[in-house]
Amino acid sequence: MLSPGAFALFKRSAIYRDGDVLLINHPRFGKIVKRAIDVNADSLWLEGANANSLSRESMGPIERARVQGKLVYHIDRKK
Amino acid sequence: MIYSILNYLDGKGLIARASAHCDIPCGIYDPGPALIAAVSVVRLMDIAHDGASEDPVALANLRARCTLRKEEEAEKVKQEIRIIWGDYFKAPLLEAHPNVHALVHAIMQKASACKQDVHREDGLALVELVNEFAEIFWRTKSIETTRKTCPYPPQLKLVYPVLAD
Repeated sequence: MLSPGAFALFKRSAIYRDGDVLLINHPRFGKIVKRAIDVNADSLWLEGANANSLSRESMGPIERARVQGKLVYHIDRKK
Repeated sequence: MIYSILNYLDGKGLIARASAHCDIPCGIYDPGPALIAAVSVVRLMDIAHDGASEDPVALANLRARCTLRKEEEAEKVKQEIRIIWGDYFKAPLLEAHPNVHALVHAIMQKASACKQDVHREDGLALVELVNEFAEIFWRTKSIETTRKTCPYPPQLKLVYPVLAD
C-alpha cells in the first residue's frame, strides 16, 4: 500500500495483469492509483488497497486506454 | 535523500499528482438533502390535493406543476440515497448494518410509488424510511440523532444529527 505523500514511478505497458497497481485517468475521479482486477482485452475493474477506498462499483469498468501505467517503484515519505 | 530531492522537485510543480486513498471526490455525505426531498414529496401531494381554484385551467396548471416537482423530488431522494449507499457505505459499515441493503431497496420502491401516484401514505412511508436511513448513517459516525418536527409544512418528524460545536 502506498503511504500518503509517497512518490511513485509508473511505466506504460502493453500488458496489464490482475494485481497490478495502475495509474488511471478516471472520467469521474481524475488521476487515481488503484489495483487492477478482472483485466480483460478492452477493460478492467479497480479496487483500493484500503478498506475505506471507493467501491469497485462506484469506480466502474475502466477502458484500457485510460490506464497510464503500472507501478514499478515507489519511495515512501521519510518517517 | 532521494525523497528529499523528489520533494523539492514536487514543490516546483514538476511531478504530477494522483490520489490513492482518499474518498474522492469530496467525502461529503449527508442524508439531509434526501430527507428534505422526501418531505417535499408529501408537501407537493398535499398541495395537489388541497389546491382550489374556480378556474379549471389554473387548477390543472397547479396540479401539473405539483406532479412535475413531485417526480423530481422523488427522483432526488433515490439519487441522494444511492450515492450514500454506493459510495459511503463500505464493507465494514455494511457488515455492521446488514439491513442497509433492504432499507435502500425499500426507499427505491417507495419513491417510485410516490412518483406513480399521489397517495399521502406512500409519501409518509418514504419519509419514515429515509428517517431510518439517516439514523443508521449518523450512527456510523457515532453521532446521536433526534427526531424533531420540521419547522415548515407538512411539519413531519425528521431525524436531525445532534452535533457538538
